[in-house]
Amino acid sequence: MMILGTSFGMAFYLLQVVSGESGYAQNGDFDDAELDDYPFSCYSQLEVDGSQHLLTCTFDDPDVNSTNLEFEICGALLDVKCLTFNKLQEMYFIKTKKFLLIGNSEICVKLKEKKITCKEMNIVKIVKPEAPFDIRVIYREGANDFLVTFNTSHLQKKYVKELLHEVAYRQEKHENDWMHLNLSSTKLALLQRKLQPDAIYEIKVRSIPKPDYFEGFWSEWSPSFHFRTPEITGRMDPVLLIISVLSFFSLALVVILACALWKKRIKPIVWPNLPDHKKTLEQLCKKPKKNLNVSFNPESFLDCQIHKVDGIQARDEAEGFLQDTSLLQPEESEKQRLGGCVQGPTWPSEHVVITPKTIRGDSPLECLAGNVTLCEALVLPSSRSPDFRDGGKNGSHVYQGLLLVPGTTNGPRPTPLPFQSGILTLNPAAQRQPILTSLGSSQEEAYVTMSSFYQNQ
Amino acid sequence: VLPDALLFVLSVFFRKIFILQLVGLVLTYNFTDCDFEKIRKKYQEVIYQALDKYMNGTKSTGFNNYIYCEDPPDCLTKINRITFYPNHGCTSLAQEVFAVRTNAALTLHCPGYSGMQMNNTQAKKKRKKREATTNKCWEQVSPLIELWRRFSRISKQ
Repeated sequence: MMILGTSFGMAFYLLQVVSGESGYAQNGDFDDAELDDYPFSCYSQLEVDGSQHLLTCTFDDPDVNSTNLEFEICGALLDVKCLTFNKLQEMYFIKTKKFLLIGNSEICVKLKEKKITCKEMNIVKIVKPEAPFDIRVIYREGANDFLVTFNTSHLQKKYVKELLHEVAYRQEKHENDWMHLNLSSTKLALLQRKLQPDAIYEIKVRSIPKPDYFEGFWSEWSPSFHFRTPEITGRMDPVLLIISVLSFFSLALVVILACALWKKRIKPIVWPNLPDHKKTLEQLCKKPKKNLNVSFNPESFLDCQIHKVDGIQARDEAEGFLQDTSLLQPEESEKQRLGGCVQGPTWPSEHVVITPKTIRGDSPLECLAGNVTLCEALVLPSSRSPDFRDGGKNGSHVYQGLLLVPGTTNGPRPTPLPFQSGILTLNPAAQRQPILTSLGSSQEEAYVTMSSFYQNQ
Repeated sequence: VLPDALLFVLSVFFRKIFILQLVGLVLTYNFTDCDFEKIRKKYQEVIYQALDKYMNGTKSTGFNNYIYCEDPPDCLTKINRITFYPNHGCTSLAQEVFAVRTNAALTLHCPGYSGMQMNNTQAKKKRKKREATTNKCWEQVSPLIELWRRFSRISKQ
């Protein structure tokens, strides 16, 4: 009996063991399934709903019977040890703020509180950004390009702020001929010359976390945007055309004027001739007074005869001088020329009279024969000009600093020299009348020396 | 008899104090061997955001209690002390998000760092107390932000 019982027990035990190894359980479920039979993958999305994060897991094999299967995450959580996923059709997800975002978590597939398969994952390394949106294309005629802009919700997030974007565009009739561009900003300029004219294009964009602390997967593609490229016409911009025509004509006019005026106007300025000093001086002197003729022709110079005279002789000679000057008066051009040359800036409007000091018997005029030196002169103030006009008939003439005295008996007549003690200018009205001295017109007339003249001033 | 008893009590008392001091000395962690770059990265990406949220927009410069740290190990020592051994009426910092993240970062990247072990019961009690001591805790956290900033700057070098 005992042997029989033992045999049955052993057989039953063996049966139990064998059936256990085959994985067949009483309820028909797989009790010790291979871990590789339920491969799954997960991705996280941070701050999808305010500050709440989303973790989504799905089985890689869509045919898996997930009726009694659950997902659980443990580790790297705030305040709790583990969290259980919610199920929506074939997808398992969990929405929570409790992700620590530091360190690894363990995600397990459970079957009735028994872990079937587990994977260690880091939430920050499986981030899938939200898809970009609001993609737009604007044609910029001035720049001949298309400005592509789009938006992403990650610009306002605290985590996962830095993304890389991929823009894909194609011509509608070329179905699989996508062009791809990578960028880190949300703006892109597509050059017009790189696109076909008068064609319709489709464009879309997606994002991925910039590999740094956060990593993950590409987001879904954004909704596509369609745009048409403009035709290329042969017409030129009308404003540009007008400007180019005007520029051409202006240039032609400048060239013609340059050729016409080259010799007369342009060349003298660009490459001036060395001036002839005589002609230049004549021109300079010609300009201020129209009536003033200046000539450096030696024949135009008058002889200046300076003689030593006493008072009576001076009067006589002054009268004689008057007669001479009445002959000379018609020759205004000579006078003006002389006057113009001697004209200086010092006393522009005064008319002065120079009277030799010899009236008093002195002989300040030391223009002795053979000695051509500057003659000292006396200057009388202009207030005496009316008298001088009257007295001028009797007195000797003075031409703008030149004392014209009838010839002397002694020695050659020295040429008159302009006074350098004072540059004198004449009143234009007075220029027509000889400037007379009141040589000896009245002995009471005081002689004004240069020093007293200065004192008077 | 009385002096003998008193002597006995005192000797036991002082012995315990001595032992505790010794234990404290032995158990003070040295942050010299930590991976400062990885800790800095975690501060920039996740710890700073939690600190900012905790301060609720209050500027750390509004509180006049700046603490200076000399080098990265010194900074981490002070961060560890302020975060997990607070005083003066703010005892609930250890359960805040930034504190838990700090603990996780130090545990991961400082060899031998045991971290703070607090059970859930204590966490619940401290959460109740947290609401009452917010202002004092902000005062406690403001130098913590400055310590983290300094650590972030000097650990880059």
